Amino acid sequence: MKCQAIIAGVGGQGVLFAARILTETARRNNLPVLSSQTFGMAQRGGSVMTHLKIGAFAGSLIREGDADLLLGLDCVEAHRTLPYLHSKQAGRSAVCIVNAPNARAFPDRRVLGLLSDMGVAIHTCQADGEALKMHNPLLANLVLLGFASRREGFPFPYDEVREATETLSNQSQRQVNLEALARGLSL
Amino acid sequence: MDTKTRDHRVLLGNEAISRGLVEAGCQFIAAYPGTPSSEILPAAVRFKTELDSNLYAEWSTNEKVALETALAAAYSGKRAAVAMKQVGLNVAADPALSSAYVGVVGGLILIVADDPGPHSSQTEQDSRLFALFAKIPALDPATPQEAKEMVAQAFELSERYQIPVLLRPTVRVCHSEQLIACKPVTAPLRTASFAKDPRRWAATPRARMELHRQLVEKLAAIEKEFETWPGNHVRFAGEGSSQRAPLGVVVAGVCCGYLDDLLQPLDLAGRLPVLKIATAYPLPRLLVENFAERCERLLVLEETDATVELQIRLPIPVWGRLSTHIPAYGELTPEVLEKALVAAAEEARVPIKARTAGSLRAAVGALDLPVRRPTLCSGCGHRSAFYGLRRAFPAAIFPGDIGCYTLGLNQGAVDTVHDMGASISMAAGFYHAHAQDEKFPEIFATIGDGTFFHSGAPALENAVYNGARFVLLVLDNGTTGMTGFQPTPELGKTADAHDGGIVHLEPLIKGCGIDYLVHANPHDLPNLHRTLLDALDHTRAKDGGIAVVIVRYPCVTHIKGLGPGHMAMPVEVHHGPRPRSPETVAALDPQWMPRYVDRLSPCSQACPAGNDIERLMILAAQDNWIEAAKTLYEEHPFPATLGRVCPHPCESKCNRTAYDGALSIHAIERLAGDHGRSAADFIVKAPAAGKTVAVVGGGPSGLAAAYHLARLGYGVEIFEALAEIGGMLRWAIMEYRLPQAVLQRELEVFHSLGVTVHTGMRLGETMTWRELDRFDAVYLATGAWRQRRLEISGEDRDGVLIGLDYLRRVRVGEAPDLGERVAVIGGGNTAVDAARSARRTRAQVDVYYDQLLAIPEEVAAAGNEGIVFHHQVVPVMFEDGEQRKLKLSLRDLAVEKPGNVENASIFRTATSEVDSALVCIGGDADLAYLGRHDLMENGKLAVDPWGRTRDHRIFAGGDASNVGSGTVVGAINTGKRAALAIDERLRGRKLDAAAVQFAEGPGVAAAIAVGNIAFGSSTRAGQAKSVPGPQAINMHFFRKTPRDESPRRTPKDSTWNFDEVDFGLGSDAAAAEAERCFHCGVCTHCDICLNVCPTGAISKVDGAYRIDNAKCTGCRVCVAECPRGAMSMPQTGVCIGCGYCTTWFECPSLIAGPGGLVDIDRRTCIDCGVCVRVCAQGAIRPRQSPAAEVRQ
Repeated sequence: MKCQAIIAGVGGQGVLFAARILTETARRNNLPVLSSQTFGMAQRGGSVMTHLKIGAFAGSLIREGDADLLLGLDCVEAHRTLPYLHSKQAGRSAVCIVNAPNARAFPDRRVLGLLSDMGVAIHTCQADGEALKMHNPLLANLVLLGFASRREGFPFPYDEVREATETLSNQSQRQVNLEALARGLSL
Repeated sequence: MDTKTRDHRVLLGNEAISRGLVEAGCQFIAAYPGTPSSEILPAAVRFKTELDSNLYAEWSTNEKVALETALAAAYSGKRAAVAMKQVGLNVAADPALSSAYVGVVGGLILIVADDPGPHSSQTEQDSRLFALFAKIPALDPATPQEAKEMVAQAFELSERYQIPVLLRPTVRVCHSEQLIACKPVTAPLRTASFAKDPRRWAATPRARMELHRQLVEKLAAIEKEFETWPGNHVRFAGEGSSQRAPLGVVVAGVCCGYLDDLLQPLDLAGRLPVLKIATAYPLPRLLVENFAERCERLLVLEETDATVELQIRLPIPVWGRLSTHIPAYGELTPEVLEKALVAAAEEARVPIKARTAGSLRAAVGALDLPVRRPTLCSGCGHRSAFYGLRRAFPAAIFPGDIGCYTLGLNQGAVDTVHDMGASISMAAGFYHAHAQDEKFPEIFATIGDGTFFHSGAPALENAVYNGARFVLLVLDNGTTGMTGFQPTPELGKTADAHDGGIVHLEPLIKGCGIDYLVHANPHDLPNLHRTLLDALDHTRAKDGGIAVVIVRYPCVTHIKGLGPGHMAMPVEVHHGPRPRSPETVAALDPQWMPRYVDRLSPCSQACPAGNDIERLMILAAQDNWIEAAKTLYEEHPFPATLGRVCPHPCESKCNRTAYDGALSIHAIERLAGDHGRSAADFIVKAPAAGKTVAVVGGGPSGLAAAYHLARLGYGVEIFEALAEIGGMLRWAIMEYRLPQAVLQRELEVFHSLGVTVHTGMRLGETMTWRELDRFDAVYLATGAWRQRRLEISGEDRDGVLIGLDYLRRVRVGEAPDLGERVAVIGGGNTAVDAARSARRTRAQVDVYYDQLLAIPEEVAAAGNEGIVFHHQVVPVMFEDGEQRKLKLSLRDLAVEKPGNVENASIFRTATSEVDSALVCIGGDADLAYLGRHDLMENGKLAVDPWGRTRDHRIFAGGDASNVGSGTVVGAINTGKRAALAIDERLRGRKLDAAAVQFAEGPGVAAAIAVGNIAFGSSTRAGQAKSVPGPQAINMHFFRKTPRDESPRRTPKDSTWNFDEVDFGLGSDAAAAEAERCFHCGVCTHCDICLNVCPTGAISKVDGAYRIDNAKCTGCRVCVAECPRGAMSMPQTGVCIGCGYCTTWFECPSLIAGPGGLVDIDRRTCIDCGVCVRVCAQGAIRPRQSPAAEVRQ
């Protein structure tokens, strides 16, 4: 299997943790994995983007126009990283899954035509709202992962994502993390 | 989990390197955090525990220290490593260069992470070039896995040649995750054994040349070894073909992976010869030459600069950064690399499958997405510090430093960011460069705690030593925030959480030679402002210097919440119909524009004489005592007198009272009176009115009326019963409080005004009403001279005197002998004066009273002079004494109060024997002269607040009337009002309505500025509506300076004579005291509004402020920041979208939506509540609804 995914968000939203769950899931499948993260200054509220390459790759960065999957934790950042998505190739559509307050917030109508021409499948989910219901806005990343895990084009099934999350969560957070994932799944 | 999965883990490049270190038996690691290297040391500590290694790990205070520390370990035979970011190597350059010559025993790896981009650094420097310069071998890993493998290889190489080795990952290796094979520790741990060898470890310059020769030999041997290095390999195309390929690629480091991934899509797989180089320096030149023989030209792909390219010296074309085939700056991302490769292939006529660019990038570009710049976290103390700094000193120079707080540049509070510690050195440099030209701009440097430990201290020593002056803010959040919360020396915990020593900032800073060191909580904005102003003062003071403010607040992201003691304050932004928006100002109601208002200061409001005290303070501060006197003469003729005897109600209303003590207004008035020339010099008289007024009674009230009436143009005659005018001023107040000469000088004005004074004219006795018929109006101010009696037994005995009679006799030099012991009965000013006068005859004086009404200062002075006060003790009987003339029976009222009824039987009835008793329990008006009852009420002349009686020709005031207050200043007030009423009556014109309302309003007996009202303008009347109280003043703008009291004679000097006790303030002291004035409600042109305006809408034209409506966004910050409440604009209470908070406070939890309207992002807000203070429109307020959300 080969999958190139971009996870985009804002520093502090848990982009790193979401990526770590996917790399862990890949490892459990004995799949080679390479990812590239944003650390440092940009973590202080700046744009944050993870490149994640599962399968036989040599470099850790995804070339624009090559990504199969875009997970957007923030509408602006999702828009910003759209150029990484590829056009429908060999019958495979790129998938774009975005945390948005409502369906109008993503995608901007000015790029909608191009995205449909490219055959990009778009899903939005109110991960922030769901996380706020749990009184912890920082859980939006897991809600979005749970939601994404039942979409076509997502590389792993929900159960595998759940197991990886369980492994990576620390004791005190484990239960709420799994609940957030489950809530996402049911959205 | 099976063995296989445990042995393969997803590790970050930095973690892979750490794993490699511990596996390879590294026993010593020292590092300084810095992106992208920061994760290396913490991961090493984790693996140390897991692999049971005895690794010593330290966060060093800087990179130079780290390298030197690790070098010693390597000298001792241990495998050691240092980790840092690329600019850290600049700091460690000195030991690094020397270490190549001297070499090591145990292996030493310098792990230096480069940051092409740069993503989180000041430069894009290539550390491999540094290795070339330093003559240290450099390895260039392509992936996390390779980086890990290189660690073991580097140790072996280092030990084989006794030379340090540079391992140079770039950010995409450091911060990439990969599945990594993990092993146990493979190399044995060693014990330290340092072999002395001074000719090597302490080599002199002569020996250094020999070491250099050896180094050159080592490098030659290493190059040879690199020719067959396993990480260097060739992948030829068309193996066996004798033809040269048109293009061969030499690729190093992280570019290898991008190239590999590109070959397939570009259809170059199997067609492009590739030489992969892992050993960037020294370059295995034979390997490259052999490869080049098969190619017509070479393209070199490497990060970050041209290290490999520079080392290739071949007759064929070599394309790369130097030939501009590769961009000379910026990160080589797959897209950049693809573009360069396609261009080179086309130039070399290599068939290639180039893509056509999609249109999505252009479409996304057209969306004009907001640039998401990094910001400080919600609730961060740094944000408040920068906000406060910038708001207080918008024009200052702000040298900044490296860390989270670099982001202060978003808030306009960081002007320079250079390298670690440079804030301090550059602040010193800015100071000296300007001081040379006699310029002294405000300079505020900011540096974090970690950075101060790193390299701030030497800069501070230097700045102190060389006499620089600036304010340094050490922003202490207790951790190294930007790089992931590494501990600082203040914490006392080492890298692996063991106890270390503690280095406190305070002694360190003081040890650098700093005397002025204070602390501030950044979220307490007013206090921060005050602290910074005081610090700035220190830099400007004669014996001042550098001021250091430790701004301390824990990192909210590190401790996951607000600091200790900081109560959470959830906030909400109020929205609603906007009375104005930032733009649409032209058609607006002017009330929604800021404007300048002059308000009446509370002191002036409280002054019954109507003094313009605020103006008096301006003139006094300018040492302009003539003008000061003139200002006072506008209101009354007695500044020197009132400056001595007034109970100064103005001072009790002074807004400084609770801050640092009220102004000594009283003393300043006195000095103005003493300094000024006679009132006659200034008086402007209205044209003669042709009418006359009789003033009956020459006391303060009558004199005030006469003064103002004469100025208004009336012929005034005063009828005084006694031999001289002055009333109580002359007869009740003694020389030690009010010297006669002072009073006499002020009374001379009546002569200048043409007022006729008839003395010895007592109405009803020595003159008749008929004599007053010739006047158009009569003002009765006959006072309250009929002294009250105690009405107790024995009151008529010899030795019981009326206090006022006694004082009169003292005044004329005919004082009776009171004997050795005197009792004074009464608690008013006359009683205290009587007591002090008696004391001056060396009598022992006791004062008995029910209520103490006298001026507190005078009571205190009397006490100091040895007079004993008996609170709530009153005499009940006078009898003949046994030892002395009189025996007083006394009664303690305190035990008779309600609640003490049960103790009624124990009323203390004491007795005291005295030689005489002075009864001073006040007086009543003797109105027998009136001859009619219709003008009286309760034994007083019945008047309205303007002194009008029922008889339209007769006016009255002072203590003879029901508006009397028993004070000199109150009497002056009544005389002044009556003068206005008489003027109104005689001219047949109405008093200015505003003035009337003003003067009759609550507490505003004040400021009936006769000059202003009667001569045309009543500007001060309008001001009275909003007298600014303490809450209207931004006190933090004002230095705390204690009140200066006027010096007094010591009791020893004063008790036995009648010389004036109070010396008054000298003019310097008085001017300094006047400087303290807040000038409440009055614009002083301090320019703070102009400076704080975020859009430059306020300018100064011909000395007056002008507000440009087109530029004003309505943020209302000018109004909120006016130190003295002299600007006005009501709060809208709703967000108007002015953008002030988002621009200058720049909190990520304040999100601007459509129309710039702001909302709170509750996902990120941590309820610090500081923004409530930031919004001057009152739109951000504490949330009213119960805190439903519980933060987890």
